Amino acid sequence: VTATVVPSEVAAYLAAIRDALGDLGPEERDDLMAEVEASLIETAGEDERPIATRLGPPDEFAAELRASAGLPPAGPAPPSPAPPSLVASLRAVIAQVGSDPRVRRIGRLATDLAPIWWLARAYVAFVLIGRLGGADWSFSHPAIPRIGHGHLAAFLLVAAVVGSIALGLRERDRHPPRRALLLVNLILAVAAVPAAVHLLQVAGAPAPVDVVPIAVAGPAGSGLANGGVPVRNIYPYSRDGRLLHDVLLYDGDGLPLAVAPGAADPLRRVLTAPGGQQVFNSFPIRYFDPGTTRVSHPNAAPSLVGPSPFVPAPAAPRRPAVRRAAAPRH
Amino acid sequence: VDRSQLLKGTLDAAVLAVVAEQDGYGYDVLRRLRAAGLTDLGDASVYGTLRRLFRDGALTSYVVPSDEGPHRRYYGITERGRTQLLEARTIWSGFARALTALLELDVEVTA
Repeated sequence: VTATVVPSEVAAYLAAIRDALGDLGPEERDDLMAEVEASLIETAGEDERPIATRLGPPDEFAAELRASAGLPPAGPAPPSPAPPSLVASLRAVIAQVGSDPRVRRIGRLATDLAPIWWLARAYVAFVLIGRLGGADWSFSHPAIPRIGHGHLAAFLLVAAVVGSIALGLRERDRHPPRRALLLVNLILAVAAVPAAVHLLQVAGAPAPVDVVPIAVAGPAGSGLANGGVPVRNIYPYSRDGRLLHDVLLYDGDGLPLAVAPGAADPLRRVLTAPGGQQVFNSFPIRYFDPGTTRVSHPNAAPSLVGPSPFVPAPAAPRRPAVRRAAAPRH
Repeated sequence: VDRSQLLKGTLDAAVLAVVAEQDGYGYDVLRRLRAAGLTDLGDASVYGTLRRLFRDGALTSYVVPSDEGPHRRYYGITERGRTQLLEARTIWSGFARALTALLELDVEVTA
């Protein structure tokens, strides 16, 4: 690398421009100067005339530079006070943003809508505690984790809602807000993202009571059979290959296709209808881990035999790559 | 017609068009603009315009080391710059058509 020799005439001209840009921020000025320096040094060798003849007085050059760069014309250089501390600058920015009428309007709107957040955060807190406590999602109510029996979960959810509303009402007029509360809200807001994703997935999945009528041929009175072999379980799939859960099957007479109803298998996970009766025609049949009421592999399924009949879910259409055409000539 | 005023309003489009054709560094862009016929273009206005278009996101920039002198800062056009150029093209062609029609009409009247 060779050091660049800058003719003294060019160096003086550049220094004068830099002076004329003295009131700009250092970054702005350095960017502009870098551009100008590189160009003037390059042109210095190409033209024998004095630089001020070619480019005009440095003051005018600087003024043109500022105008074309969208910067204000030179004013008297402001007294340079000690740079404010970072915290002070942040405070100033926050105060300035906060006093903007549009921001104030948004702030009032947020205050009015706060009760919605109180409900949402109660749900998120309930889900967060349940999931951190190791609870899986409920099968019958996939929007909530399975905490104890249904009654305990319902009680906890109601308690969370009541507590959150009480807290919101008590703290809503406190300025500034408690830091602890801000932190809790922040954590819940972050946790709300995966909770919302789960809710969207649940909403997009088929409801657990989908009825899929299928014809199953088998010897009468001997339960389900497939080609003479007794059917012990059924794994329904959607057209795009997703394993479905808790699909209720009925025959042509509307009778439940039950497998071994009333069988005394304590590990079999049996759904309960709202009326309290047990549902034995829900598939796939799942079994709890011994001694628990958990299914360790709720998505387990046999490997499928034969060519795949599934139709892939439609992907986003691909846009052909189009090169931008050359400029039209008029 | 004041040429310098016309230039002032159209320099952004001219710079974008030159850079869209091929990436270039400051003096190179200036030279190509002059070669295209904008001979009375001020050096400073081109350099300032490049910095402003870069700051506004219409251009990207990268540095290429040079053995002969200082490193060269090249500018390339961004998607935003292309959009801006396309808009400028539309505005200019409409404006030019209108003014051409007006001025040619004027010639016929005075002829």
